[in-house]
Amino acid sequence: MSRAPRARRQAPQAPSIRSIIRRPAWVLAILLVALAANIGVSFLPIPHFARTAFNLLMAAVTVAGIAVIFMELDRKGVTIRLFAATGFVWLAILFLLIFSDYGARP
Amino acid sequence: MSDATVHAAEEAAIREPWEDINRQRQAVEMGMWAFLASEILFFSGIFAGYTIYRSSYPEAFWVAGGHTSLWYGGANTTILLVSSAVIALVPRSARWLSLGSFARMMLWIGACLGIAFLVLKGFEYAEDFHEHLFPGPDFELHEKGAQLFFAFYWCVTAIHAVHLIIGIGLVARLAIAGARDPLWFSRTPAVQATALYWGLVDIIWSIVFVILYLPGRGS
Repeated sequence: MSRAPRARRQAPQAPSIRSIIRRPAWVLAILLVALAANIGVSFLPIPHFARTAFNLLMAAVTVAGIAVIFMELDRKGVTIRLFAATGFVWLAILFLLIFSDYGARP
Repeated sequence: MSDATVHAAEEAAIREPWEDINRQRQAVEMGMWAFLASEILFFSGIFAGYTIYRSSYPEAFWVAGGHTSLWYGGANTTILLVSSAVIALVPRSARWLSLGSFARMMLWIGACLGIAFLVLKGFEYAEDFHEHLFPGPDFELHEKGAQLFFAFYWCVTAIHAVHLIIGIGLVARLAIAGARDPLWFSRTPAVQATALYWGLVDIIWSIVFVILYLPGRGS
């Protein structure tokens, strides 16, 4: 059985600058809207707790946008994502312990 | 890029102890994320302290938060978000020799935005000193716990600024080295590592902005 000749490896074509910019630009626009919403809500006459919760939610959205799109976690394998998650997991444990104390106080 | 050029670029980028550029890239990226996790832990101690004291002095932290400059904080947050988007373009473009100059231009724009952040921060610090918002005998606010808020404010923003200065140095160094050796620039894992570091600086600021600049507004 004769083997088919190996195709010569083609170097990938460089993408256009517009295609490189498109995705980060959209995410940046969303994050700037989230920032504007965060500042706007801070002036609304709503309870402090609701305002703080919204502010932290928008911060979480911003962190996720930066980590997943800008830092390209969406294109990485499971191992890299696990490494990336460790810091946030320890942070979550730390705050769980803090709030379990305050939540348990009479 | 021809196969011979790719080989030459990989030879230029490889460093001891690695013998394969792909393994070097994976190791650098994983090591960088592990380092960033340790950085998050470093800041998490400060955030934990802030949370505990804010729970103890909720009104004082609310009033003190209203005395930070939302204009400077908002402008600096915008600057850092734009800089992150700009730096995010670097790993996406640097691997192609034809886009190398574009990637290096993005590095310089990112560095300039970082410097703009520091300049605004300097003006903000000057204003804070002028308004006696530095903890001490002349401190402006009288609520019990307000000095603690501003102790966190000065500590966190100063540590963040040090991180940003390091980031600007790394970005500038990469841009200069990349201009000297475009082949090395197209394959070195330093591009990804630098972009990741810059992302972390922005992540930390996103949280700092929310906890220091947004409380106490409106009412």
